[in-house]
Amino acid sequence: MADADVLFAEHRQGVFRYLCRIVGQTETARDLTQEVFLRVSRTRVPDADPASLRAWVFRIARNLALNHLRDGHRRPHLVAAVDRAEPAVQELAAALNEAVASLSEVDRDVFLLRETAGLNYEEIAATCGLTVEAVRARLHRARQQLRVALEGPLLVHRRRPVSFGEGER
Amino acid sequence: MSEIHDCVAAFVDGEPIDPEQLDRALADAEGRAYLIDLLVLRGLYGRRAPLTTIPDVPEPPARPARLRWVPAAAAVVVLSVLGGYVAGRQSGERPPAPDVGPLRTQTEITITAPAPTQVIRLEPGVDWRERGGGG
Repeated sequence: MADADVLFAEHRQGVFRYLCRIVGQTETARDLTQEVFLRVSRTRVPDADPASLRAWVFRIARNLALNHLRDGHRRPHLVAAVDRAEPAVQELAAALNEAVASLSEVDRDVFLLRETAGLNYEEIAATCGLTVEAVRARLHRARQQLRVALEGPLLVHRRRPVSFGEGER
Repeated sequence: MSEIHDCVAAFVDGEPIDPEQLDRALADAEGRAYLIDLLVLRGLYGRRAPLTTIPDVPEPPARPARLRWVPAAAAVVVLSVLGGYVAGRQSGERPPAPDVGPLRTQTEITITAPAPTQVIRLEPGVDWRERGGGG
């Protein structure tokens, strides 16, 4: 059975990145990340496989983030995806931030859990209380919506080098 | 959701795929465009996109610059006071005074007048005269 320290070491960066994108502020995300693992440390860690534990941690993070937003905290500007990149990439990143913000809450969550935290479909389903098929459908819908919103900039970036290797955890 | 999109997304997301299905999906122009778009999106929004990271050990809060000299100044003051105290104690320790017996003041000494060598006698009316008016 994993303990809270192991979960913290393995998932803190993923949780932080996910929360950054959800709440839009690094400081708030940092506070919420600490709160997530404070709760993890105060709770009996379930005796489960790593994938289920990962989903468990992210479920706590997601609930905290949603509570934070529902408590009247306005959703601020999302954290810049690229800070020191060239202007065209910054422009696309800003457009992408807006497009992600326009997604429905669940679609956005599914997209962020996949892209920023790297959860697989089953883990996302467990985190959000959905079926795997629903995750697949929502992820596709979110991506298609983003493609439409970013059609012009994406066309430009199709001709730029892209990097593979995001499959690692 | 089409089979092409489903297969390409599963491939990009590391989910199980049927290789023949992927072959068909990538033979289609839309499949290739979808693959590239997903990779571009991931490059911009994924885990490689730079963000501030959490330090392993919490950093101590930084002190305001104007307060940074205070500990050094306090140390200098304390050292100065201690140094002055020690120096003062060392210089104040004198060797014990020799035993010279009880001191006597000048008034206690008996002084005898020398014997006169010449005596002068002055008589009133002869050597001096009294004058009235008391001026």
